[in-house]
Amino acid sequence: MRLLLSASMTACITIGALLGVPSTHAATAEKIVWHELRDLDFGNTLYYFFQREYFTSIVNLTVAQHKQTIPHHKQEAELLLGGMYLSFGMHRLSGEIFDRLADKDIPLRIRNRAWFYLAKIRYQRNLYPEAEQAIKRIEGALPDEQEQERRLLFANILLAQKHYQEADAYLQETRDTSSWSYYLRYNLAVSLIKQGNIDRGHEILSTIGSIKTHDKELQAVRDQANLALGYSYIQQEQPQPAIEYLRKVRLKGHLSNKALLGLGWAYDQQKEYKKALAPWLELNKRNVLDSAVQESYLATAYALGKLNKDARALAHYKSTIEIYEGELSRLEDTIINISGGKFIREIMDKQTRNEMGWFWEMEEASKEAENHYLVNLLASHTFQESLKNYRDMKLLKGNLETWSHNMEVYNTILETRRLAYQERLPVIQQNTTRIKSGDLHRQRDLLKAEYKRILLTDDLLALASSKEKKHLKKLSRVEQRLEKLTKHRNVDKARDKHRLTLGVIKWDIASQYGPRTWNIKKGLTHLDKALEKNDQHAEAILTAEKKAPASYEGYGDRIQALSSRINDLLGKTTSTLDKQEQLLKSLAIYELRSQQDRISSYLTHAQFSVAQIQDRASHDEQEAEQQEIKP
Amino acid sequence: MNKLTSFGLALLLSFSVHAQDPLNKTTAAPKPDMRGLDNEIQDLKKEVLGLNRDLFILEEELLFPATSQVAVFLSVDVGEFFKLDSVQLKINDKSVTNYLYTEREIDALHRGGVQRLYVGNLKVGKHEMVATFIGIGPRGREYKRGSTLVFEKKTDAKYLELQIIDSEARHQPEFKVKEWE
Repeated sequence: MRLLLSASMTACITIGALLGVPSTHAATAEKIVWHELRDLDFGNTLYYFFQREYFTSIVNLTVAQHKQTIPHHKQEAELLLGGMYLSFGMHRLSGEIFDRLADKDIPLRIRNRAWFYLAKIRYQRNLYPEAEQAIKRIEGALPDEQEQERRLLFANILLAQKHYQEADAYLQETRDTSSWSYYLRYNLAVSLIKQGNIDRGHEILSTIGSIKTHDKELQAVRDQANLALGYSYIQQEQPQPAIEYLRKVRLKGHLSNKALLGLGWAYDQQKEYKKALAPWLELNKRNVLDSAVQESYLATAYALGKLNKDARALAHYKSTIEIYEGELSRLEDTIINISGGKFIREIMDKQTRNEMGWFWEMEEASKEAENHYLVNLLASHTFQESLKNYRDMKLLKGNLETWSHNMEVYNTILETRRLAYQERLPVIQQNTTRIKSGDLHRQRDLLKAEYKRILLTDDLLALASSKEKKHLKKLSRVEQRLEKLTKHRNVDKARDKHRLTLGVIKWDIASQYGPRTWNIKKGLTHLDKALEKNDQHAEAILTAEKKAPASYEGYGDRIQALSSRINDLLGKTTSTLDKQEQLLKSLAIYELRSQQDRISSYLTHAQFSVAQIQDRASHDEQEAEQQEIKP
Repeated sequence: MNKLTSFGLALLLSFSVHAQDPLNKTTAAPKPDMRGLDNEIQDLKKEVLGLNRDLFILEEELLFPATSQVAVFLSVDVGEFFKLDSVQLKINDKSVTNYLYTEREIDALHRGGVQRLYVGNLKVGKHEMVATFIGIGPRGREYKRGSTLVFEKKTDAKYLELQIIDSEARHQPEFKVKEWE
């Protein structure tokens, strides 16, 4: 099928956004533009691709490849397929495609993209040296935004391999100012600090912490850098710079709780317990589900103790213990809920109807206590990927169930066709017998022969109309009677009349010889055409007789084989879906247990402090009593 | 109280953008392993996609054999002068589809996607197709236009494409029907 769309039609597909890059970073998406779409089936694949219905799009594309209906977009189709497989979580198959494309003798534009995606897949699969190898195979620069993404990916690969100095030099050289670049620099700085290269780490963080921007995303990165600097200085026991950086964190930002907590600890290092109390008491009023707020209860009691306000400290510790116990119990209830499947059901209910789209509404989810504890988990790549796998398994299960139902319908269709054929068979056979006998053709040939004879013999009477034939017949009878009467009487007058009448008829026929023979000829031509049509119908009937069984024969076996594959895969999908659900539950429970561990440590500390204060109080009482006893 | 501050620090230094994976945290509980399951899922997806391909091929052969198949596609080129709402399709004066578009579908069409609007069966011979496009035309007015095509169905599959094209010269949309060989 050679298909050609209008030359001005342009299609532009975006793959990058689907490769694990958050949708807010559309700038990192890759665009492939065709100025000419030449195969309808490829256009139809794009129709679903643009709607992010990757499953349908993949199936359409593979069907078109099987039918060989996209001859003009073979390489683009492969590239698109690789991208869609990746979006559908099929890293291995996607890798195989890009591997194949990268090694092929194909245009540089496509080969470069293949190396790029291959690097990306390898990076996502933690195959860092291999990812570096792939990214280095890209020749020249990639188109616009993708070039920026390539640079960031390369820096990420260096970071992942702990080549910090190289990554640092590379990032300085690229002079990239995108938010992603700042995230990368932030990660690099934290890695350098952890490694002991504190000065350089601080230098990078300080640069990020002083950017002037109205961009919300960059403001968040700036807060994060100032927060990290503050805590790092606390770790270095340098409270003054810590205070300065922590004060730079926006009070309304999502990191303000952690900044307030750190601010308290910095004042604590300066032994300014009153000043430390201010941010901690502010934190005490905030959402109890936040870890910084939870820690602030303990810190507040600790500061009160340091200010020798034991009674208030004791009361604060006791209320803190109650809060911690309450939270531990809430966490335990959440774990029970998750084990029962409630959590997964709630998340799935929030899923959009879109086949592949995943727009997790984090703010809505955060309203629920368990989701607040799970906020980091929900945002993590591991959990998101597992959730997508779970959703995909549900999609596959639904798809297989629909096909299973369709197979029953197809079997019914086949049965109906079989019965219909059997019912019509006698009529068809009757018709075919008539057709095969060829009687109509024989009759037509006889008529043609008669026509020729009339022309050759000038048989005028054969051209008589039916009325004339009736008259001729009558005249013939009259002639016979006249013959008989001749012996008895004079019939000359009657004979004259007879001859005259016959002559008139013959004259009429002779005078219309031309039109009459032409009419016969015309009639014979019409007859030929009618017979030709009849032959076509006859052919159709004969073909139908021959081919009708093909509309149901053979399909039965195929349907049976496919049904068996459907059932087999339905079993496997159900079992994998259960396993995936268990995995999601385990991930959530694992996260909640970590939170429980953290709160339990706080609780132990609070209980120990209570015991210490009570011990001290009792010791003081004893001392006072002993002093009273002394004379 | 030094022990306490360490909680805050540990929290902070794990802020690394890509280090939020709960599996990276240390705790006594066993880490859930997902690699094996991920591979299993990838294999399953591959099998189901392959099965779907075979099923679609069977379905098409069974329901719309090439000898009688007629498929009608729809495409939009630019589309500045016309915002498509719906399409009504009649073949031989019989309504075969009445399609109402979503924003997502319109967007996909504008980006170059081609919709397979209708697939059906027709006998060999002459047929008439009438497509009515309904939407918003130039200057935001309601707009309804029709296109007619008389076509010959032969023994191989017939593909027709409804095209909505902008006529820059007339500042009007144009509606064409194209027969594919």
